Amino acid sequence: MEGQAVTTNPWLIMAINMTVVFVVLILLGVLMEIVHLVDPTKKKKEVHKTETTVAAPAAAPAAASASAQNEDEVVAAIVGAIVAMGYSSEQIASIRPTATSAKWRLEGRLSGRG
Amino acid sequence: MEAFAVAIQSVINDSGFLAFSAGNAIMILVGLILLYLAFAREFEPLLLGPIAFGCVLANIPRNGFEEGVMALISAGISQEIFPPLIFLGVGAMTDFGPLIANPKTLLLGAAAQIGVFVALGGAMMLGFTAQEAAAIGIIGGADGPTSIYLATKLAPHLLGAIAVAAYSYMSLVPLIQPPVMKLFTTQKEREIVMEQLREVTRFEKVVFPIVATIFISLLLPSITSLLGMLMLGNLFRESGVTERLSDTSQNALINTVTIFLATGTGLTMDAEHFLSYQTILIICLGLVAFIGGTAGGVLFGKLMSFVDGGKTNPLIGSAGVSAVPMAARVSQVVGAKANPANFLLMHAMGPNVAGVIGTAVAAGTMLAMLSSH
Repeated sequence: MEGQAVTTNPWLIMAINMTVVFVVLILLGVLMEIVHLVDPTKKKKEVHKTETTVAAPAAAPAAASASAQNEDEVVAAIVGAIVAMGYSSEQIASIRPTATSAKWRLEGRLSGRG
Repeated sequence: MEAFAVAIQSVINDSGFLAFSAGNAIMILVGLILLYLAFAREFEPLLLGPIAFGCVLANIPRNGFEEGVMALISAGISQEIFPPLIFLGVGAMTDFGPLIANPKTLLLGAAAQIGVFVALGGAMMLGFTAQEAAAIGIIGGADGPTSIYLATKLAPHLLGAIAVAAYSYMSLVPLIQPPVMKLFTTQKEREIVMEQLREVTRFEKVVFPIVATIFISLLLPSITSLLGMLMLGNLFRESGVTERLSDTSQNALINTVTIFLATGTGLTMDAEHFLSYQTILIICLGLVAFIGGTAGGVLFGKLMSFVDGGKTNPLIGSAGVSAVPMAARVSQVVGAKANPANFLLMHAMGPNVAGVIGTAVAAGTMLAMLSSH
């Protein structure tokens, strides 16, 4: 097929085409940034986020008390397990939380399933 | 008894065996190998299967495909009906969110198009015309419908070889890309963990296809049908109020059109057109285009990583060659091998979908430059 091409120089065709592709996609990227900037729903989301942050302290005491209750339950479960193994509760010197890794927690969950 | 002999004689005279050539035998063998790759080795079976079977059918002499359903299927390709319909489904299946969240990945989609132009230059040096070279080069875009669309417009006589090369290499993306990705990156670069992408609002997702269609189509009107359908499908998906249309586009419609497009592509692989020295060159150039595109994306990814202080993992650049979502999966797999805590899939989807747009833009640019007006 022989058409009336603008040029038949392969290097020129390559250079022109690559430039056009880059320019078009860069301009599309600029348009995307503009859409992001003028996005009216984004503002609403930010306002909503601020409201959530303000409301957070009110919920904090409840969360703290729930956490304390969980800790008591964990201590009771650990003591129960040790006693069940034949030891006396007086033999327990202390139970203290240590830093746990995400991997350790995952391992625990997986072994729990098995 | 005489009537029986006459009937037998006429069956023999009308049979394809009498017109069966060595070329037909070779092409049927090619079709059988492709069927094996599709169904036994599961290389893009949804596409390669019907292409291979179409190839077998096309090489049955006296098949009467000049009329009837096969003629209509062939017309669906030559009249550029199927590629835009495939794009409608692709759009409905594609999430542009990762691209919208990180627009700089558009540059990776652009950089990966270098393979297209390397193959174009190589084809011209090997004696192909500029139009043929452009149609061959687009194989590097790893985008079947765009390859078929451009080949139909610029070099219809090469359609079979181009389509087969494009789809074959797309199925081989997991084999072709990793060595190139590893060659151009260091272990340290492959281990880079990228920051989580920002959340994209529904507004952005709905506005993007509309804005992109208007802007690119005004600039390159020759690809309006391809790009328009891609974005319409995406609009169905993101609008949230056209679920039935989205569902049809990404399931029933795309499956139906895939059958027709792939079978029709196979029908172009008759011995007369396919068995030539040019086909071998096209297959080789297609590989060069794929490797060039992958290298271009990765090298630009390295440049971006250097500029942003090591926040970009260069491996996502290879996904710029389209082949959605397989190329993104390859980035994920290679990245995870280097660093098991690396999750590059969503990051790689940005350049991956940018590559689809980039390939369409490259096709539009070449059409604008090279088609006879």
